[in-house]
Amino acid sequence: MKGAELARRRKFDYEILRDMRCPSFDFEAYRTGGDLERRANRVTDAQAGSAGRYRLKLRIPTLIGPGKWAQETIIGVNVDVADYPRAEPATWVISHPVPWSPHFRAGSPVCIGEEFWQAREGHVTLGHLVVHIARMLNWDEKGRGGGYVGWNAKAIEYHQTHYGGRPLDSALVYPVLPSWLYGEPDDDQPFEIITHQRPR
Amino acid sequence: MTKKIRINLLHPTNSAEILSVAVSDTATPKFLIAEMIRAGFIPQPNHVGQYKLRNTRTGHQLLDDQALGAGGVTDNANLSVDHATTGASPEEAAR
Repeated sequence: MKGAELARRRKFDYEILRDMRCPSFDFEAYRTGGDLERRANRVTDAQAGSAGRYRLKLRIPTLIGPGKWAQETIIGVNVDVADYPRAEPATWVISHPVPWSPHFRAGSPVCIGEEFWQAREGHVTLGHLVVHIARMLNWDEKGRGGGYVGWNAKAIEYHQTHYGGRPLDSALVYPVLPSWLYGEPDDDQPFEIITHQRPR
Repeated sequence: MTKKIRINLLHPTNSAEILSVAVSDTATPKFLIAEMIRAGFIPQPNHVGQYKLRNTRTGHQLLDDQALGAGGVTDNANLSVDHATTGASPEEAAR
């Protein structure tokens, strides 16, 4: 994918993120890595097709050590990688301290899992990535199998001991993908959530 | 005439996780699955998979585009959300 087609895909990603802004998520988009570092020349809605770098702000309370918390995490994303969107975007943690988790490490990509992006061969967006990272920050994801330790076996052990494998906050409201992504909403079709019972 | 019914949606990997919703009896499984993904109850299916709904009382799998009422789903029904993998190699299915 390149040229006009890639610009359309970039615009698509941008517009999904634009419509996901909420108390737990915000973002800034830039053309280049230099702009992102300086936080200069921010891409506007009208320039969405040129967005190559993102600064994702996730206001998801997460562990940064045993019993220590951060209220938000900043993640960098670079979609200007070869074969995007079939290949996953580059990701890294911008904020300090880095989440204390098997999926995050200073100076390394966020460990989003091959099954999350690569296996979908481009049928996944930055919006899905935001929700995925939000869940990882809240330790709310289906396990990657017994024995998985990622980059931080101690954090896994701590989480298992203190949370029994449960999310840090079971009532957390995640950023939501825009409804238009699934087609026009049908006003005649309500979907009212009455309760969400989670396993103890 | 449509009517609103309450249904209980059982998570595909842990049936103890249940989303109870009020929907129209004209809603289709396709619509419900899209809404469950949008609500973050279930993730996007992987590239070789798809979600299906099954009425736990009858054991019957519902058709994607058939209205719940027409499919025999009544108030307070329990619908299991199954993640079906089709056309995948054993390696892909194991992902």
